[in-house]
Amino acid sequence: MKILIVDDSSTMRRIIINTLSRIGYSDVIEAEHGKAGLEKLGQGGVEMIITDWNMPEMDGLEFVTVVRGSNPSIPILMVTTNAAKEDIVAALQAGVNNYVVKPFTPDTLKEKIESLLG
Amino acid sequence: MSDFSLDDPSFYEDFLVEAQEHFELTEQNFLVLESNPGDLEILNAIFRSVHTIKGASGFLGLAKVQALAHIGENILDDLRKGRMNVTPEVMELLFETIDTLKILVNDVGVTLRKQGTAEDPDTTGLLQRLEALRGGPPAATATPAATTGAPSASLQIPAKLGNLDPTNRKIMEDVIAQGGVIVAIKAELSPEIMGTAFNPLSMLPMADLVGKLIHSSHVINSPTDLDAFESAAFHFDLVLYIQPSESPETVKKVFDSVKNVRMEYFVLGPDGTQELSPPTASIQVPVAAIPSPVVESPVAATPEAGARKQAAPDKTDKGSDTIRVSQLKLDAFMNTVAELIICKTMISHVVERFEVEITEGPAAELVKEIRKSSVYLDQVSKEIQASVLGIRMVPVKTIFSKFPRMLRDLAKASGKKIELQMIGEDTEIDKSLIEELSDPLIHLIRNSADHGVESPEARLKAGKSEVGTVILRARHEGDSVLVEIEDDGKGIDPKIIRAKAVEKGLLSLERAEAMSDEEAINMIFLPGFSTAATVTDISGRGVGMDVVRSNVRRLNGHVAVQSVVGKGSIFTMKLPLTLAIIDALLMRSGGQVFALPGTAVEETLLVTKDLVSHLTRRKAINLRGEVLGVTQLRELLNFNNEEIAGQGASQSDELPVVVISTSGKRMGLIVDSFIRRQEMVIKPLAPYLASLPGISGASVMGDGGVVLILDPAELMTLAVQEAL
Repeated sequence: MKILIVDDSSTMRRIIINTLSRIGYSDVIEAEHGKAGLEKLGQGGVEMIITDWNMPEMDGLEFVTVVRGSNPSIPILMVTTNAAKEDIVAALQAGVNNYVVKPFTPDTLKEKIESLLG
Repeated sequence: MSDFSLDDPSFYEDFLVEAQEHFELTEQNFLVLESNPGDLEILNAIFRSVHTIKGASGFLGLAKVQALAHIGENILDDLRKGRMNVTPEVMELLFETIDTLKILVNDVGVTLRKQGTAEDPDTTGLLQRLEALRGGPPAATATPAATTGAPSASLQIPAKLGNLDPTNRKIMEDVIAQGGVIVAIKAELSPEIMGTAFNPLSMLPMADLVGKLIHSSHVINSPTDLDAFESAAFHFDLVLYIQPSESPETVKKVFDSVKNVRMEYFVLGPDGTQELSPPTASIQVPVAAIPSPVVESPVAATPEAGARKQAAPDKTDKGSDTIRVSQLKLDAFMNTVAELIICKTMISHVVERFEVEITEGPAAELVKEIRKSSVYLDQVSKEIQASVLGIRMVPVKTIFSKFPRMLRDLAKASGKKIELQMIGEDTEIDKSLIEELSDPLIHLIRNSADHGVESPEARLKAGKSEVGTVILRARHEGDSVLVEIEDDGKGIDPKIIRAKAVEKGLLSLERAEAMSDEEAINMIFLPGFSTAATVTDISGRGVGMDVVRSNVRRLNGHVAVQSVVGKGSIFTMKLPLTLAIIDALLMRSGGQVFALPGTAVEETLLVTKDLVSHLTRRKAINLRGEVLGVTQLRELLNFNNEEIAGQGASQSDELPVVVISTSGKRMGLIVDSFIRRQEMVIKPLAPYLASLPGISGASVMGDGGVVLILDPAELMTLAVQEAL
């Protein structure tokens, strides 16, 4: 399954990729902000999105909103720190299917991904 | 970090690089913020930097970094959401937070590379002050437990919530038996939710925000007429049972914000079941109340989030086509290229010899071919050299960027008003140089702020503007980079410097008086000229200036000062573009081959012996009407190997003289012979040679012989001393 990771922090991207590979997902592409994420998405084949919120150019919320405008079904997981509740509610309303709080364990990520696929 | 350990140190290396970038960015942003408090874009950019550091540090198990970044982030969040104002007090605390984070992150590097000891600062005090800023430590999460008396295991579930299976009923009864409560939510989805991005099932993870989701189920809507059944309406309501970690009101608040869903809340507790007051109409749209409801777009629904779009300066904006390479790899590459250049030189050396020896026969043809290849190799290696040097070039911006902050702190501490102007920040210089340049620059800027720029009162009295200016300027000049630190302060008084130098016994009164003003003020760079204790007694210049000079010299550069009393001073550092490879003039003196950096060579002459005049202890020649002091290189260096001294010496009447210039001064060096001009790869000197006066390094020649590289500025000093 091809997963698109959108995060402006290269360290975070590596961490997510590393975690994903531990739980059996190795087909991963990366983008460093929402705009780049949309480009990557446009190239096709992406089956799930894992996105950060705070990013330059286009943040996660705007990115999700744009994605949802044309793709209502692709599972989207948002990676957040323990941000304010209203922020997470806003993200969920914008079309995020689930969120995972940093720092997460491989098990938590796996659980969240499975909940999206299930 | 229990079950998630990143044993690969490169994760930490990545983090260090990224964190460093964010620190630099943040400092710039802070300075902007200070002059434009409330600039949302800047606040967001700072927030994002701290946020990124916090996020990654959590994974890397850097608990202290994470804790500090966390509260810093909270404060920044309060600031950007207008819950707090940008006051000087807040700024100071944020600066301190960033500084401490820097130390903590630096510690990570120290530990990782096993270099030195970690500072490991105590952050408790800072954390407390930050908490206090936010209005005291957060109240302990309200536990709904222990609110009531006798626990009762009865669980009354309102009929409209449908049935509950025994397992989940038991779980909830246990919660209530322990004095807890369960919040049950019945969510009735309105048809308008279709076509919005919101997936109703997202309410399940939403429950995690306010507690633990124990169970979710669906109930069929109360039967309606068939027409309605055919409509787009949902025929199932979602029911959530949550064991809240927050008060039931908070749970309600969170779920009330969901659009297009009608919520009903029930608190199931030991005292029975209570329905929370129905949602207010302003938040909730009753299902069939509006004929054709306009579905609010999710973006408009969250104005804060909309405002988060970033336009603040960010490196990642244009960084998409770059890759990061560790400096170790670059250094290794550079070394290999250096070896390649030595090989290339050796080959062309051999080819030259072939060409002389073999002029006829079939071998001569081969020599021609080798010659061709050698020329080609020459070109290619030059290109490789240029590329690797280019890769290693970084803009001076990378170190300049920390000075606004430093100067601001210095000004603040001394009650002065100082404005910093930076010119030519994009000037590029070799990475290895830039790191070495940082310390002397800090020294000089500190000096300008501490001792150059006067207090506002003194400035006004002197008829200057209250605000002093320090200009940091970088530019290329030939193969060198010039970095200047200019201030419009009180300048350096040559009279005081002369007096001080004589008092210190550095030179005689006569000699001091014979000096030009410029020479005099440049004495501040002499070792032993000043110490911190005496410096305030004189003009205030000179704290550790000899350290600055020795640092700059180590980089094959030199530093000089110009100053006008009452007007200000300009410190100029002249540095080579790169440390590794220089263009040099090779010459022989006293049986040894020396290389003189091409940047210092002004011209080469052949001077008839008779034209050298002897003035007291110095020799001089007349160079186009000017008197130029000349000296024997081997004498200057005490490199007089008696046995061979005579051998190389020119037997003719003409003496080879190379005119060198540095810091605006010129002198002539008499050598035995010139060899050629050539690129040299500088190798560091063996420790036992490092203290040789006048020598800055060594190199290997094409024939394998060792060349000593001369330090022109030091030669000049030696010559002056010798003449004294």
